[in-house]
Amino acid sequence: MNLNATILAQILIFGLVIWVTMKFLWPEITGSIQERAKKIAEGLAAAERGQKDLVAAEARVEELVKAARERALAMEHQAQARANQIVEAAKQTAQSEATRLMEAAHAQVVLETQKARDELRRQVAALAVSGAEKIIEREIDPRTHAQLLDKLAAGI
Amino acid sequence: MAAEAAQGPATVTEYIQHHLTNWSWQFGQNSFWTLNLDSLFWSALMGLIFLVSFAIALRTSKRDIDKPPTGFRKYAEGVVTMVDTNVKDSMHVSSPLIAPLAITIFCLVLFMNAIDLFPVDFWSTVVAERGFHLEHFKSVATTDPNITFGMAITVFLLVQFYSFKMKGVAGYGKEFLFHPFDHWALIPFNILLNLVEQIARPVSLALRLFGNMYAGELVMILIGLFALSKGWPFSVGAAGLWALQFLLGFLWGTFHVIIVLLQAFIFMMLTIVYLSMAHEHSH
Repeated sequence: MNLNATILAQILIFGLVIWVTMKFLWPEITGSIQERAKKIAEGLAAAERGQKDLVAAEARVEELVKAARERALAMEHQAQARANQIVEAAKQTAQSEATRLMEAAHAQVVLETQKARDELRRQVAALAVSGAEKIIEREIDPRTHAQLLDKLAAGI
Repeated sequence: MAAEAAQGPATVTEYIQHHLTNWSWQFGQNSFWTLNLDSLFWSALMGLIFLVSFAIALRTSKRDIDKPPTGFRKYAEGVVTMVDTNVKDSMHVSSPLIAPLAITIFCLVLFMNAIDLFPVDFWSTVVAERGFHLEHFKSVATTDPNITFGMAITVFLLVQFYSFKMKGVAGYGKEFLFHPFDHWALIPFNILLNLVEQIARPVSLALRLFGNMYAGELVMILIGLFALSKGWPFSVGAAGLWALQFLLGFLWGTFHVIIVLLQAFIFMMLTIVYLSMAHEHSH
């Protein structure tokens, strides 16, 4: 182990290399690494953002679908109700129409009956008069016996 | 020796000596004024490779910022991230020095150590001696204590500088006088303790790396002795020795990969710890 002036020369060489590294190489290296790290971080952040956006979009789609389904359901219910209502109304109309028709028919019948009865009364009166004429062989003035005839007709 | 090595096998002593001697240049009267040119060559070359390769990786990284890293850039970014994480984990204050210092140390030590994974004769004998007629050429710079001490002393100086800078002369002096025992009577004892601590750091840093790498290199050289002076295997025994050398070299080399990496990491981590201590007020 012979120590000699090589130590001094080595200190110079080593110091020079350290100085160059410290002055020129290292700042550039760390700058470059930081830049890359920043870029990678940005990329990761963008990916994360995309992921988040996707999740949000999925949630929104879900929401929309749910709303649409609810609306469809509501519409269906509404339609059902409306249909029921219409059917009910139709039923009621039909019922009232039927009642009305029946009442009208009834009235008609009553009217007809009345008419027939009146006719009959008249005819009965005429018949009675003609019968009585035949019986008594003389003409009866219907006007003089109108009261009697009416009483007869009402008695039928 | 060049002629000998080219002609035939050397003796064991020659072989070991050849591998453990530096290519040096004495320029002063005293033998202290000697430069180990091979160590300095590797140190400077690895520093250059480190700076250039990382600068290229940085440029690619900037150009292809949106593309995933490939090739060397992947390793460069891995090293940068590793160093940055380690620095941030052990630091509570930010410092413009520690991270670049840590990555420089890690890469330089790693690169210099990694030369150990070349075949032990490759650089010294095949390239330097036969190619450039250099008598001695050690290839692993971290097996030279001058290199490890040079780096450890640089770290030591930086620690002292930042201690003064961050804590001030008064703060650092107070820490020296009243730490770890906060009593005026124990000031001399504290000074002694802190002196020992401060000096032990660079010494242990340097010797740990040097010891590990030197021992590893030495074991490689010893493994290289198995088939020394056996020439190309003509006999069964020589063939067996060649096979044994190859197997042992492979095993030790595989193990050495871990040491190469670990020593670089340890040197870096301890530097980070020492410097973060220099930045903090109490430890």
